[in-house]
Amino acid sequence: MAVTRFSLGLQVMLIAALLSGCQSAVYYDDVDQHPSVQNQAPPAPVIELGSSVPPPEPVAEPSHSRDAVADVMLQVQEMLSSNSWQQALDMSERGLRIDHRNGYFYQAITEAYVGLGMMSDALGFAQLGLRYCAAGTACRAKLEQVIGTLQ
Amino acid sequence: MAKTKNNKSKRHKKPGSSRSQPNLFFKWALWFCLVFIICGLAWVVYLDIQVRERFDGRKWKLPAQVYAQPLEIYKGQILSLAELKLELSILEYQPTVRVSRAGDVRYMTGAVEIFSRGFTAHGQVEVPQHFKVKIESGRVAALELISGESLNLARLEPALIGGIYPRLQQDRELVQLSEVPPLLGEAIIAVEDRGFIDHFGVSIKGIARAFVMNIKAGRIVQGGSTLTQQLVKNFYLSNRRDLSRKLTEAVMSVLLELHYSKAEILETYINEVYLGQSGPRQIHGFALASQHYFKRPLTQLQTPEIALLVGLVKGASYYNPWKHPKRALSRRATVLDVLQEQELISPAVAARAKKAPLGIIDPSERSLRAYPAFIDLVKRQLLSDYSLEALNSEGLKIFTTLSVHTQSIAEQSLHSTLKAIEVGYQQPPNTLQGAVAMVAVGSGDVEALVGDRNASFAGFNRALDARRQIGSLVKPVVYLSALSPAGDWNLASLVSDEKVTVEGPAGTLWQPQNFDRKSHGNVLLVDALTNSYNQATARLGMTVGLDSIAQTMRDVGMDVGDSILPSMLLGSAGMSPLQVADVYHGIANDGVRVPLRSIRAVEDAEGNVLSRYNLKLEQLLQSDSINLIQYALQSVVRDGTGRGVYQVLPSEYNVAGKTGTSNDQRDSWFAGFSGQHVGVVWLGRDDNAPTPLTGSSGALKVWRDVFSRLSSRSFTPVNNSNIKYVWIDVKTGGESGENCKNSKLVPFAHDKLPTFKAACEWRQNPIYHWMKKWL
Repeated sequence: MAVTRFSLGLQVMLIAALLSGCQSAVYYDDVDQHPSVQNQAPPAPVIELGSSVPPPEPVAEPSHSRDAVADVMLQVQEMLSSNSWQQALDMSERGLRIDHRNGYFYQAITEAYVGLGMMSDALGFAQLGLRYCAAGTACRAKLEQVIGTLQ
Repeated sequence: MAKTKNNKSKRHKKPGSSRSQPNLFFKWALWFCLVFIICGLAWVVYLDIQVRERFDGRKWKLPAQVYAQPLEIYKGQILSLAELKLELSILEYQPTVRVSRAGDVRYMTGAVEIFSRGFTAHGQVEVPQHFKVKIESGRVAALELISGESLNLARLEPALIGGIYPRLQQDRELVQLSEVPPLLGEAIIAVEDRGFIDHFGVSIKGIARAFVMNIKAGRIVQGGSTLTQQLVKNFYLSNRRDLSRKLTEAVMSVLLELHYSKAEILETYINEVYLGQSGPRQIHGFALASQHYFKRPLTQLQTPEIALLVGLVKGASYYNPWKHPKRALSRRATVLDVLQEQELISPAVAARAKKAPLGIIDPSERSLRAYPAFIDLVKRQLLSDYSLEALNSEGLKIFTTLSVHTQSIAEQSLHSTLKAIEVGYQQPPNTLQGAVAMVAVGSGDVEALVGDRNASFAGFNRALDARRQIGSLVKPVVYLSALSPAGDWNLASLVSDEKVTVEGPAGTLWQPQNFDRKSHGNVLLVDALTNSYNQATARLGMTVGLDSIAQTMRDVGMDVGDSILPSMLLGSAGMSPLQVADVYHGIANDGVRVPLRSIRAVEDAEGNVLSRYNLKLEQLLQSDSINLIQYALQSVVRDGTGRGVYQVLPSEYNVAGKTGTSNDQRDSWFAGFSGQHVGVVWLGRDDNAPTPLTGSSGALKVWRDVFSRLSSRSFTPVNNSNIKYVWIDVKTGGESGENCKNSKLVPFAHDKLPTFKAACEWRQNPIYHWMKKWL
């Protein structure tokens, strides 16, 4: 399998190199007339053999930037605990710009909107946060609590 | 008798009237003088009110200043050295060998030492920091303070990117006298009005001297106006040249001097005077002129530069240093002579300054602040909250979402790729147009907007106003509708791609065809989208139901209107690139729709926050079907009509996207996303004529060029426990295995797994395959 993939990889590279060399003459169209690139399906998460495939691993996006994320989270926590709702919102947005799938920042935005009395926004972000807070985490518990209160 | 009497009376009257006539004349003259004086006084009082009203109140209409987003720098961030350099250059950081003050930068191999300036924006305070950024393989590998302490997050100040101007487009940067280099103030006085300190607004001596000089020359060679008169003329009066205006000017000058100090008058003059033109924008005041000509703050100007600016007061157009460098040099020499003569500079300094080059920036750098398409969007979004008058007169500060490096890349890619496409397809130059919209995934921040192939051209904004047929860009929405939990479809469902005929109103027939005019039999849903089959999509859409599809279109943010027609399944609707970006942002952002933003906050001139535009939530789309569409759109760029993307992008960089081509190839579209950015590109002709381009041969090329140069995170599917990946047989859609021939791994919603098993023809010995796990 590995051998097969390697040779196909080479094929892809060769085709790409050939096509880019003739770029002025060859243009891709919306037609199925291009050399087919087999087994180049979108990379899937880690999988096992056979038909029963476990769910994808959690997205490891912030691994490179965890220090920055941790720093922002700390600042958000301080802002929330001092009822600086708007500042907490701004800082959470900064956090989301680093990692837009970080459930904590959605939780923080929810809390900030609750603090600002903007309940419908709070509810929306709480529901959104559930997508990014895994089951059994404090983040999820908190959001579920907020949703329970607001609904 | 009566007659005699009459004559007598006449005779008697004569001496009497001759005696009383002078009295009457004087009386009338007196009355006239009195009325004249009263009128004169009233006029003076009126002028006095005018003088004070304008001088005490807001002196100028100050355009709103528009700022880009500040660049965040943090460890692990994807950021190239080129992008960081571009940002620092736009912010006018001064390269130096020893970084010692805010605004200094030192470039080293793979690293940059920065002394940031610090800033306050909508309540957020960033202190100046002296730090070092190390960049390796396009990522921030280290970020640390020079003092040795660790630094997790740093920000550069937001760059000023433009303004919202009044009709006359006067622009200026206000400066206080205390911030002006002393030589500048002295030079203005020495060159323009040496008696400024002593006169009372009008200089009799000056007028007399000018009068004599003009008589001698036989033409007007010298004006007798004082600095105060010049200010009055520019500040209060029109350009009309007649005696009454001169008189008004003189009176107002005296009044101005009566009420205000010399320092106040000089400061106002420094901010008021006209010093050049940048397209339709008028450059007023020395502070803005310093940026305009030298791209440096006033405080950093040297003697030759100060002399050049002072020389421009006489005629900014005539002495324009870009158009007439010789004239400008000569005028600068004259000013330097005056400065030397007045002992403001030494002869040696004057000689050195005369030899110095003009030092003005390259004309190409002048357009750096021109982002007409984006500013247009900002203005439109602001007009719902602010009046135009407030926007162009109150000096508001608008903090926007524009990323200067994303914008720069988008502009360059559109411009250069269009040029290459025109050459490649032997099209007459400049016949094709284009637009690009770039949005940050998650926040919905519009990071770049290009509305014309010449990005600085402020004309028709195609990114917002070109509503063009989107063609196949609509297909993901049709498939999204099919894959919704209410439907029975999954990505491995088979759909027929045979010819399809739909009867419309009044017996009309709609018979869409595939681009290659071929039918492909039964195909998997994922393959129909990957290869952008029209017949399969039309059949699928009609099976799902037009009403359901229309509802999904509304859910993703499309304006469907009342007429729900089959042709909408293949993208007959007209949309702008930014509207398309809105739809695709919802898909890229795991089904979370947020309103696209171009503004983060607005402050008044004093720095008080007037409005904040916080992150809001518009709608949550069903996440399972969105995850499936994300997969299919990755398949489009790996295997389908969008695979030209990977001719340039590295294969490990995961992106997703869709091509779009409208009837007769009038519109070429590509919409796609990475893990961090959504990009939408449209190419076509303004007259809507056919082009030789499809989505993949046109817009895709611009898109991939942008994404090959932009630092952006790879797309990764979100962890969703409802989604299962299953090996399926590509022919039948039945469940297969990794080691079976013609199998591929496809995601399914957990309640819509394949319902049957396909026959498996092993492509590798199963024992060896099993053993591989343990090797």
